[in-house]
Amino acid sequence: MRSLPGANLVFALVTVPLWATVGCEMNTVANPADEENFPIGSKNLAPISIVDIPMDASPLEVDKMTFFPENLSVAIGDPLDEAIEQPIAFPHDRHAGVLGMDCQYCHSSARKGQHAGIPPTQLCMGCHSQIDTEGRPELKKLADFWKDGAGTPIPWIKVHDLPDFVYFNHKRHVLGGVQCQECHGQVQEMGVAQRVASLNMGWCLDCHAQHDLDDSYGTQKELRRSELKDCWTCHK
Amino acid sequence: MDLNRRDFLKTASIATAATAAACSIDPRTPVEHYLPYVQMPEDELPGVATYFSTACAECASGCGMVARAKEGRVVMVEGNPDWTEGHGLCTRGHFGLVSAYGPERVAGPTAGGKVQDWDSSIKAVSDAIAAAKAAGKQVAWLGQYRTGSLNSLLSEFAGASGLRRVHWEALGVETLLAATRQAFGVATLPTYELSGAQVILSFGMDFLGTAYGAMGMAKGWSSAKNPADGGFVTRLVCVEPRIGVTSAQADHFLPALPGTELAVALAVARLAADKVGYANAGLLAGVDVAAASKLSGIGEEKLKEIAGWITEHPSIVLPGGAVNAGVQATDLAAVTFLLNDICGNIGRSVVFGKEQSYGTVSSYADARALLEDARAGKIGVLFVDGVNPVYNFPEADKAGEALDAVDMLVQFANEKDDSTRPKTLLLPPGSSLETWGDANVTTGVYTLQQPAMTPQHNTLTVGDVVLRLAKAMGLAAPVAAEAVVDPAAAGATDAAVVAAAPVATSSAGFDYADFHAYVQTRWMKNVFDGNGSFDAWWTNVRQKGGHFAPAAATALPLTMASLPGLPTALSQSGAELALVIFPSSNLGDGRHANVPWAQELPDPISTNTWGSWAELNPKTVEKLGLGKTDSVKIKTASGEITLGYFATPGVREDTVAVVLGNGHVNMGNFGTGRGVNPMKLLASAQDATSGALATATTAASISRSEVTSDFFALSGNIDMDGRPIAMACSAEEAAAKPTGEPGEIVEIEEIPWDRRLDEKKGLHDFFPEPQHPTYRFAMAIDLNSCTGCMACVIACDLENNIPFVGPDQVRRGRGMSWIRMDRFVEGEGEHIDVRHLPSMCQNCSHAPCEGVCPVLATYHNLDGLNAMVYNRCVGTRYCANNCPYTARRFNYHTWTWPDSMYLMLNPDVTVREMGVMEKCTFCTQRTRAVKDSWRDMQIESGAQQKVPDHALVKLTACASACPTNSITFGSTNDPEGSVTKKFANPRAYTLLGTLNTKPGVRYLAKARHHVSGEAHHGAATHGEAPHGEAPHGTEHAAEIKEG
Repeated sequence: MRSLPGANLVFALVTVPLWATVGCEMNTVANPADEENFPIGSKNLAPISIVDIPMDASPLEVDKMTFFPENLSVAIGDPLDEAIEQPIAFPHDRHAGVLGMDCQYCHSSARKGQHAGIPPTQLCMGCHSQIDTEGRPELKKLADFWKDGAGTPIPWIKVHDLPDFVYFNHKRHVLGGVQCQECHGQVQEMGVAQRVASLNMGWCLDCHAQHDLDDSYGTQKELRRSELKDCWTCHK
Repeated sequence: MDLNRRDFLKTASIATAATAAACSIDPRTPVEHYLPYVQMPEDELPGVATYFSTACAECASGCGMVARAKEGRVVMVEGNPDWTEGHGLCTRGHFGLVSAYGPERVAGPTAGGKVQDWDSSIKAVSDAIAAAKAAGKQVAWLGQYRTGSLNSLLSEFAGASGLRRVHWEALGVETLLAATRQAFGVATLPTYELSGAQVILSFGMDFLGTAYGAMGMAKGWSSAKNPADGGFVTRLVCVEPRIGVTSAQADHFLPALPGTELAVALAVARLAADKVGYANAGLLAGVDVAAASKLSGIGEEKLKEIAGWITEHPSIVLPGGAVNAGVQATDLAAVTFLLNDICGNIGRSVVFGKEQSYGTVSSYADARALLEDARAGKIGVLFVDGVNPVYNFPEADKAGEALDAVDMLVQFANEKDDSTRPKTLLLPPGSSLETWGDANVTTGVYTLQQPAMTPQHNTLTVGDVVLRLAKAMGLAAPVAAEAVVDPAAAGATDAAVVAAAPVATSSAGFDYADFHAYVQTRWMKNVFDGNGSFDAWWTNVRQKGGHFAPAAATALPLTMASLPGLPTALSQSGAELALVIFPSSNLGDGRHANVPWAQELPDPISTNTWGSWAELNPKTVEKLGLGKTDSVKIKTASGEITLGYFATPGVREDTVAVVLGNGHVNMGNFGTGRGVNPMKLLASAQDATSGALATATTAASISRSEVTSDFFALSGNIDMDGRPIAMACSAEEAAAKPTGEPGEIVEIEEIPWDRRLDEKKGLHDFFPEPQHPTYRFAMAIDLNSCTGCMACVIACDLENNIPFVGPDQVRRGRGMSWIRMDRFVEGEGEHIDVRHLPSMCQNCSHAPCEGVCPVLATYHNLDGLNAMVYNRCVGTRYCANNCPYTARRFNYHTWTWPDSMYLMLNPDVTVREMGVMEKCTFCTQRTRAVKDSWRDMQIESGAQQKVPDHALVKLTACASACPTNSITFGSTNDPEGSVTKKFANPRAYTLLGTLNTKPGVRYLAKARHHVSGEAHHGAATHGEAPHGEAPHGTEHAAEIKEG
């Protein structure tokens, strides 16, 4: 491998937050006659990292190294090891582990749509209306959010928070036979859910470029693999 | 150091951007929350769209529409394929979506600037009505056309309360109603069926634009222009003073001397009657053809020719529109019915039986009388519903004073407009996307408007207000004479219907739970056929968006006993011009002026945005000595306006045309203070028979003004300068060869290249041919039926989160629309040839943009799409510079939307920000979604399946919106696909094919009965050596062949 001699550094610009950041900069609109009133927001820029790039790297490899290097876990969401304080300390280990509930009992749209979905409070109360809240502060919180159906949504903090220009489709993966644990880790052993994977593009592409496709594709296997590496698979 | 150019640029551009951004960056994205439902609606699925069949309410035409809701908010509207006219939604239909999220919508009932509750508002109105009655004053209603349930409710309410109803619209149908009374003895509106007409003679009707029922007529025109079995291409003859959206399609544009269109109609009628031996020829005996020809300035030979066409072929004659609304407008319309009778079109293309009704229709004279009474203090309470009298009435009618003179002014409007006075009680009826309602325009065709999202504000529909008001006033409804269906017997279980229905037939009053119950009960009584369960039927109606069973077409006997005499031409002194006022095709009568996308959408003819303009013939411009940045001052007896001008050969030299739609004094942030209001130039002249406002009878003096013009044409050049861009071929040849060899009629320049490569073995393509193993997504655009109406452009804007940028940035060329509607004018005089060409990213197989991108942000994918990856783009703009089609748009700024409009954004499409290039993606989010759903089927069935043609053909937003089916989407890998067939059409050609870009878009040349010389690759020159003054394109094609 040949490297750039000397200070062989490439600056990489990571994440151009689009929708969400635009949404944050909403401006009131007044008479559009003058330019002031067609407000122009500032550009949102995100982290920088410095990495080595061999000169004969392929575009995909360049991508993985510059734009989405494996070690750049801070790029998206929280650092992996930081515990998240959720409004209710939901014990996944009790529900999915001890009680053996299926993931899709609560995240039921995972096989039907792009979002796995966070269950409505109503679904929690399907069981929890039968369970005593006495001496259980977390359940008390749940009951307070429910208020016989007249409560407010539970403001869960996103653990797996992709940039807004990434379109991840749960249905495709679930129906394709990918196990939840492959991306989300052993959730049935976690208390409050935590992210275990970086979720950056290089990490996704590891699978998309190398994952074994089942035999139903027959002769179209390689074609399917190329399709999986198309940028528009996730960005549009 | 071994660093090639590409790597250097890649490194340098990234490094520069990074250095610039190296300060004050939060290493983490902000914490985001999930807010799940407390109780989830039954059929809600996060991230999956819900579709509601509903009705468009932007005008009274009552077109079927489908609203696409995501996470409880409507993000897109499209035509309803189940509706009688099928796919497609006009430009203005799309504005309903934007208006629903308008930033200036009032939060609830508002009086004196304060928001109050509904109960006290209703009480205030009912008290005011009681006070008015006690004082002997009238209670009146001045509103837009209302059909269906609301019309019937208003009739009942008026019957019980003595309400004086006036329904007047600036672009109304009162003239036509008076004309059918004159011609047939009954005031009714025929349905015009253009599909089989080989000749269309129009006296100014804007049937492809702003006319009522234009969607149906545009569909008919499209199939007359492209008949499935070939054989003919319809010939359109337009007798009107100005080229507009409709007359731009004319094969014969005959601008008669303004005011003399009636003479043309009479003369053609006389000649046609003589030709066919019309039974009632005596009626026409007095018509002097020579005098009519002399008066109108249209030669006798031409009149004879027209008479020949309309009698020898299946034809249709269409009445006048706003541009021909003179003092004899009704006479003109009546003579068109006589003409149709002579040609045997009544019952064939002009049909009754399934006629159209716009509810109660009043004339301008009625509305003016109402305003006069208001000024005289005779009106106690005035309801203003969806009309804007202060804007739409001539100055002389003093509409503002009239509104001020009533004791209580109640206005149904979501936003304030020119007619909102300080004391107005503003009652917001809510968006049509949030409320129940219905429309019934064509007999037997009922469209249901159902809420597609929860109301955003504290609103109550007009129907609900009327019901509550009736209850508050203790009114008893008159017993309906209609057949009564017992809801219990009909199997209805809906509590509201069962409870409401018995009451409706008693005299107890307007005791419905709400307007929804009223609509449902009325549908049960009038639309439901009584077979089976009503609930099941109602569910079906809600799924389909209505009940569509148009009555059979019948004819009416013509009973016209006398004819009007020849008109007198508009009296104008030598220096004066005839003033023509035409409605803006985007803003209509001005009601959409506060929709920013409506303002920014270029006019199809002038391509101006955000303002008004006057249209003048280039010779008039020369005569007046106008410079490019000069304005014109137009002065009449009633007033004067100053505005920019557009020089077009589509206007007579003795005529000035001014656009209606802008010039508001109080129409929100986007509508106020742009352009001028041409109604201020009019006196209150009326059509003698119908009492309609005569907008085309004024003479104006015009002079140069020092004011700098704010006119800005996006298409600066009206000329193709000989370049082969928007092509045309002869209609005769197109009709003779509906199928055949690709490029047989219009040369596809790509084909000679390929042939040439084949022939000369040594040559090969510079680029390798990209592989498209599964799909090659492609688009065919038929210019023959494209009217340049801009529906595709606005649909694309809304689907793909394309921002408006404002007048200042538009003038800097920073408009963001992915589709550019090119407009060219060829020829002059009768055979003036206006060509529109929607130009978007051509998704080339050999795309010039791809090779120059230093960061691989744009590339060709396996589906044949030229992909653009926003998050890779570093904004070098090399791609845009290298695109021969100028299809790419650069974000010079991070554009923002008004706060409330963020709810409208399509969550499936990334919102781009400053420094990023963007362009048409062939709606990749939609192709992805449809592939996704077919993949599901593949998993279920276990067999490999491709997305079938029918799921692709109207997939993209533009193809779905097109009212004339001009855009076809699909995969050329499918040999039987619609798009593959269109690609092989003899009229198909690729844009700038000589560049060997191998585009994924092909255009089908326009077929015209007279093709202007330039850019015509017609039979005359095809295959022959060019001679004489050969057009540039032809020369070029020949060169290639010889080479």
